Amino acid sequence: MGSSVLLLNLLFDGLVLGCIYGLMGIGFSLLWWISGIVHLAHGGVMLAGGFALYVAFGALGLPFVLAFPLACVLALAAGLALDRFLYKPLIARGTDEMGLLTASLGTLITMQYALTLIFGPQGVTMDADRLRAPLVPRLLPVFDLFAVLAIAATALIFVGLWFLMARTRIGREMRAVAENRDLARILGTDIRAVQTLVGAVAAALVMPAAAFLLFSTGITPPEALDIVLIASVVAIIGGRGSIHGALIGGIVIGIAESATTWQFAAGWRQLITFALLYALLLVRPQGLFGKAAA
Amino acid sequence: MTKLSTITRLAISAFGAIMLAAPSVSPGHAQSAPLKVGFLMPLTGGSSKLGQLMLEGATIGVDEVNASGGVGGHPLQLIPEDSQGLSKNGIDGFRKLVDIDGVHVIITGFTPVVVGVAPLSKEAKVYLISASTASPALRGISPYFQSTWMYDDETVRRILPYAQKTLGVKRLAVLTALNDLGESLAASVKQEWQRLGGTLAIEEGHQAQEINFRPSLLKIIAARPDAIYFTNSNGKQAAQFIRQARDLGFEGYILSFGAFEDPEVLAVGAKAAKTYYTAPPYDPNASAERSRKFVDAFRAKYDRLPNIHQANHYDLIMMIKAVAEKLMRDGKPVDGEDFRAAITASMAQYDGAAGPYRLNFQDGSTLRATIVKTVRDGAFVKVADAD
Amino acid sequence: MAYPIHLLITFDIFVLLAASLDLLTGFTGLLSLAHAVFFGIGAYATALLAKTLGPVPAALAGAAAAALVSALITLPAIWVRGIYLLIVTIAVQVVFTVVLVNWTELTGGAAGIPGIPPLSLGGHPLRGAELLAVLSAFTAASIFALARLAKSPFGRLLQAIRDDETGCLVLGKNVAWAKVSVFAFAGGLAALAGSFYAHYTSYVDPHSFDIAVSTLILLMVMLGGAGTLFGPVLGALVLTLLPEALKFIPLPPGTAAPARQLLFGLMLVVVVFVRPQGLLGGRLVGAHA
Repeated sequence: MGSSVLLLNLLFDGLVLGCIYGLMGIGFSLLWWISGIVHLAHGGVMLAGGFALYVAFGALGLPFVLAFPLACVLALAAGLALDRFLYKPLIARGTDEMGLLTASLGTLITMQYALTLIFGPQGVTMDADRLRAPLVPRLLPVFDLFAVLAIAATALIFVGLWFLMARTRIGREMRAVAENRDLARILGTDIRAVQTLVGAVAAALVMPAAAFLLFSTGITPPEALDIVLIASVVAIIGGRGSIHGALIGGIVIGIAESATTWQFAAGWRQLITFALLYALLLVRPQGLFGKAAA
Repeated sequence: MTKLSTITRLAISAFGAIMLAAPSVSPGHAQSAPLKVGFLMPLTGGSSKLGQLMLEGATIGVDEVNASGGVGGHPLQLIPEDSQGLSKNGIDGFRKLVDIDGVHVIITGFTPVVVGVAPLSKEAKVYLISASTASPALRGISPYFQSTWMYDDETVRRILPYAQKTLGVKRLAVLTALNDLGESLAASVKQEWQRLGGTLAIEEGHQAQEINFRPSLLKIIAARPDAIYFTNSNGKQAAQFIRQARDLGFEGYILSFGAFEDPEVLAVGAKAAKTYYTAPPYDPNASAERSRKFVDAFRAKYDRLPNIHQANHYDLIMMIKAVAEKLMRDGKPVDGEDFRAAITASMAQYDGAAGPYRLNFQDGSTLRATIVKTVRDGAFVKVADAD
Repeated sequence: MAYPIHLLITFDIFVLLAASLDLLTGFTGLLSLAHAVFFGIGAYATALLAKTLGPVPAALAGAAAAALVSALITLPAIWVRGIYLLIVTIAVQVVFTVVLVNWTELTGGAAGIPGIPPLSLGGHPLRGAELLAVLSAFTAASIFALARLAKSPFGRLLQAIRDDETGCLVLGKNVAWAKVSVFAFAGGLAALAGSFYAHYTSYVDPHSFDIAVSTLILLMVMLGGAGTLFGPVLGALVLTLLPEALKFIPLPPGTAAPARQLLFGLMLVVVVFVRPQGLLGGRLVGAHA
């Protein structure tokens, strides 16, 4: 494999990684944009969903078509529980931003270590097996069914979300709440219902990412904070309020990370993500596609 | 300043109570007080499977000692502390074992832990003995540290010639874990490979906790090696690496060292074929009496055959018992300083359940037989006698 | 006697860390999860320089380096706060750990740097009770200085920034400069704590300065009461004793470490629910009067 072919492979791998990053970040993005909640515990919910999928599919041996929805249900339940018992009460009593962030961070840590106690700090991984057979062996070993699935799933989900936001009544209400909550309330939108729905959507959206993680690098509790970091970097780089921004942001990070490996040792990969974030915050805090900073 | 609230007062009292109680938490000197030995090993974390296996081996030893009257009449008590294979936890565990439990001898291992506690052991005069430390950088780290597992600069001198001559490897890639063990091991590998006249295709580094090796693997595969030397001592990561390497189409050999013999690797299945590593020869079906006694006891308790790591740790317990009994016979206290004097004087050679040992107290190393093993049909099997 | 001294030294170091973070978080409203970075810079500076430069110059170099690095954080923080600042601090913390682990030539990599000489003043090495005495004196002096700072015009400006940043800007206060200086000062103090730590443990490695440590320091501040200065001191006391107390509880081997972290996480949540002003907090931080 020559150097340029290597780069091609790295870029493609980065694209796949970026799609997964986009999936990781979109739920977080929506919740932040629409409900104004910085859901640091997002990482915990994703881990929980991943473990649930592992238990249903890997440990209990249920067929995937059954295991996946079951895991979705669990993720939904976790997300809605956090919304109902953590965020709503704190917001209702006027807790300030620092308090909310602290509570969310504490929840993330609690979930991470509860899962560590149950599943061990190494977490679980499942073998994607035949999905990983290269479709074009010599030239592009990274191009396999797994990659195709990741890209296809991402495309589907993002198109679906765009449709939801742009073409449905619910989507319009969500955008209204995001842009001007008071006005939306005056116009008769049920704010609480919208926020609960957003919480549900965000929770359900962790599952595709969790599934891809389970079958690649694994669901490992120490990754909880990294997941949230990537989600927030995706949200910030993409820009608040922009769905396609989150996807593009994810892909940019994924490709950047993979590309650095081309010249530098793989250990420095994470640096590029934060360098990008840093540069962006200095130059264009509203992100690539964001509306003006809130 | 706010006046002292109730909470503050409570906290200060608790603090005072602990400080007053602490001095009294030192071992008594009663006649049949137990002889306490620390076991500072990874019980959770990436190397926990190995750590737990090693604990099993040590437990068999402790059971046998106590069933036959203990050490000079004192029951032997093994106190496990979880190091997680990390230096910080290792240091915390060491402090607890020494300051609270009052031990003078500790079984420990894994490079980050040893690097952290070896200087402390010298100061506290606590003897550290290990059957799970492989980094050549630890040679001579402390006169209070002794390894019964070969340092891997020696084992690379066994596997690399085998790879070159028998497996026909011409181009070698090295995947260096960015930690002490990985780096010193990689240095030994490169040095030996160069001496043998082989070609170093590429060296790639990876974060010690890395689970996604694909970018590194892509670069390595682009350099067309016949074999990749894997320097990480974590079984789960080794398993991930093997899977990802095979998925990306790497069909060459994977070489490694003793820590590779981990159940996680076997769990990979068919993809783990064409992997070779060095280990001391251990055959649980050997007929030597000392080995048989251990194997029978192990099988009775755990319903399976033991492996080299368990045999090693059984031997550690037996060595400790022998040295402690010698001290008691000579009327000396079983503390770190005397233990060290006694072991260096009497145990240059030892015949254990895991085979013969030749201990070098000058630099804390050991010499043992080494063989090359591989994975075949879901088990670790011996392929060749390497020396 | 070694054990109580060990506890007290740990307590002193935690006090320095918690109090300096309180200046940032409690007084100025800048939530930071990067405090272990400054702690680590001081420790590594001492590890690398104490043998050649002597302990005091090495510690000062560490503090200066920490102040410089803090500028990295404050640069974007001048324009953004809240979650943006938090993400930047987390990013800096993660990058710091990556650098420590990967830049082996300088930092010794994951294995760290062993063999740091004990702190010696005038050629006399300080161990045990002597080190504790010097450290305690330094800690007490620091707390005193911080208390004076809190009451000074600068301290009042910081609190005003926390409560109403826009208002401060409108009044023409140099908010950017205040943020930069408080970060530099807090970072420098944390670095000095790191230098003491390095002399005491004689060994530094990346794991001792990672995000878990930053989270622990934050917990001390929130638990004790952000913005009260003595609250974090109490928080430091509780969180020094708690792991020690937990050691006496028989837990299945290997569950102690995650159980401890789980407890810290829970405590963070409970504090915000039950007593957001912390144990010693008088006024609710940021509440509407």
